[in-house]
Amino acid sequence: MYSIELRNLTKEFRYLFKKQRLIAVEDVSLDIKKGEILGLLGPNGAGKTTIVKMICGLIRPTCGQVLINGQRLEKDRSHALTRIGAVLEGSRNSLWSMTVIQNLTYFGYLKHVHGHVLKERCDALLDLFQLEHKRDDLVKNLSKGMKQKLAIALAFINDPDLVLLDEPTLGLDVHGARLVKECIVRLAKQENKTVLMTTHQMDVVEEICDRVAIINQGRLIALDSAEKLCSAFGREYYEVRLKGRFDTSFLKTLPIFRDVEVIHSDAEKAESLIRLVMDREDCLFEAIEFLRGDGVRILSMTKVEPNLEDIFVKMVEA
Amino acid sequence: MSRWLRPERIVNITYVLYGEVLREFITLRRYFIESISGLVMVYILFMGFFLAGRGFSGQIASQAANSTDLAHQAVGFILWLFALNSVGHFSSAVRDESHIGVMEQIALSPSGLIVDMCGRAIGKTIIDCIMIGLVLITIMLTTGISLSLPAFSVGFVFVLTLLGLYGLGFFFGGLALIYKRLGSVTMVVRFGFLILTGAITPIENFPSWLQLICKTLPMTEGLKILRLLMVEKRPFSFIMESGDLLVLAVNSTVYITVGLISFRYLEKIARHKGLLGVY
Repeated sequence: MYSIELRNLTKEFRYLFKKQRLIAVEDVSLDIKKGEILGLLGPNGAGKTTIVKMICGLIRPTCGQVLINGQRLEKDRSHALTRIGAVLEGSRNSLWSMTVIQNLTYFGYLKHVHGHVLKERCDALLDLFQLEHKRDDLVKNLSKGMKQKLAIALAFINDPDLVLLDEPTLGLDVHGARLVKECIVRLAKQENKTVLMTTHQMDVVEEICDRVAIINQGRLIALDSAEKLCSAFGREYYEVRLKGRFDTSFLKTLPIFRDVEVIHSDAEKAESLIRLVMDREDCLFEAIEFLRGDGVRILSMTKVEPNLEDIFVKMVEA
Repeated sequence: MSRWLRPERIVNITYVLYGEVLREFITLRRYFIESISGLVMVYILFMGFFLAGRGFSGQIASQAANSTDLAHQAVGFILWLFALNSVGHFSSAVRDESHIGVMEQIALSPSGLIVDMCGRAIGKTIIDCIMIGLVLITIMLTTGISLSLPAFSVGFVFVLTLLGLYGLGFFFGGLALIYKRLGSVTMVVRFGFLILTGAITPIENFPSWLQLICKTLPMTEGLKILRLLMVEKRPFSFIMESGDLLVLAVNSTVYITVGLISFRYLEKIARHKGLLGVY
């Protein structure tokens, strides 16, 4: 059984007086397995947050269905919410006029956790997110990173099966981001929790997500592992530093080069940096010989593997 | 058995209510100086009415001419303070929480927003009883008025009146889920109550059409009964027999029912428009 199933999910916002409509999410269908970490990528306004909010019932879909553990969300939202934890506003998710432990206790009660179970959860989360020493500090006095960690800890207070994280590492320093990533991976892999996270940080997605869904203008345009997306849609290329200014128009006509582009040209140093996309990998020496034969001095040559960012930009621009 | 009556559900809801009451007390403690200065301001405001009654001409002056009239005003003023807090409490909570960013997190409570708001109402009422009770005692000590406080009858009528007021609070809370900033609207209503419910001036002086409107407001009937019990020291049986209690019960039931239904409907619209938690 899937932890989350989205079936033809669509959300349309109508503006009464402007007689306009905005399709924020259009016909999105995807499944997320138990224990899986899915990264939801997309440019600003693509519909990522709307999808997350529809999954936790904060926004009602115009049409389509959300199924949580096989059950329709609309049928028993109350029960589904006992199994969901979410961070939607990052560090603003907590009450700043209360202490860390008061926040955990308050949101614990709100999510039906109480008694010794609540106490144990609070202790475990304070320990996991390294907030034990800030237990009795007011949230407003914490650093942004600590507030963010507290927000994520609050999402886990009810020991949910499914965690929705909207930009969980936003604004965190290197150490904080690493801790959050480790915690997410540990909870998903050791405790079999399903995580759906939206982010703009491609490195985070490549590092911890099992699969990536790319959303653009409300539509799902790709869904696979980062590796598979890179190999399917990306092509390795070479960055070549050359002496002198270089005219690429002639190279573009040659069949061994799929694409040639001048990235940078420095008139003072009389150097150029070009990007060469070869038709086949075994064309490399042929290309070098061709350039040398044409009197071009090659200063350096670097092979660049395509990464998720390249794929993302390419897909969104397409 | 209805799913609402399952023991574990009742326990869970009780803890949600407890959590909200706890939060109200934590907030009170955190902003204690502000709360105390609010009480002092309220006391000064009342004494302003009192002194105006003694020193100047006008309707209030004639009302405050003797101790019984002053006692009437004190009861009206105290109940109005409760109305002031209950009518606008939910809408200001929705506005503030949307602003600081926790509204959506609170809306993720499996018990739902209505249960959560009920918890706040209970917490707020307990705190108000303590704080406004202090104001009442101070007023009684400094002005020499004496009020009867039969715990059961006054408590019963008071809770029934508050139900109606919170009904109106739920309506404005629901509107705030969509429109967020309703401060000036609720302020007009709340200060309108000071005049239109007979809190400081008798509604019998108003034109008949306005009297009719005044009598349908959630505080008017409750205030009338509380004055009979506390100032004129009538027995509870008198209230029962006069039919006033029935009128109050019907009035409050209508307000709380309409309030809850409208809140639920407006919450649904907010979810549909994606406005829940958006400021």
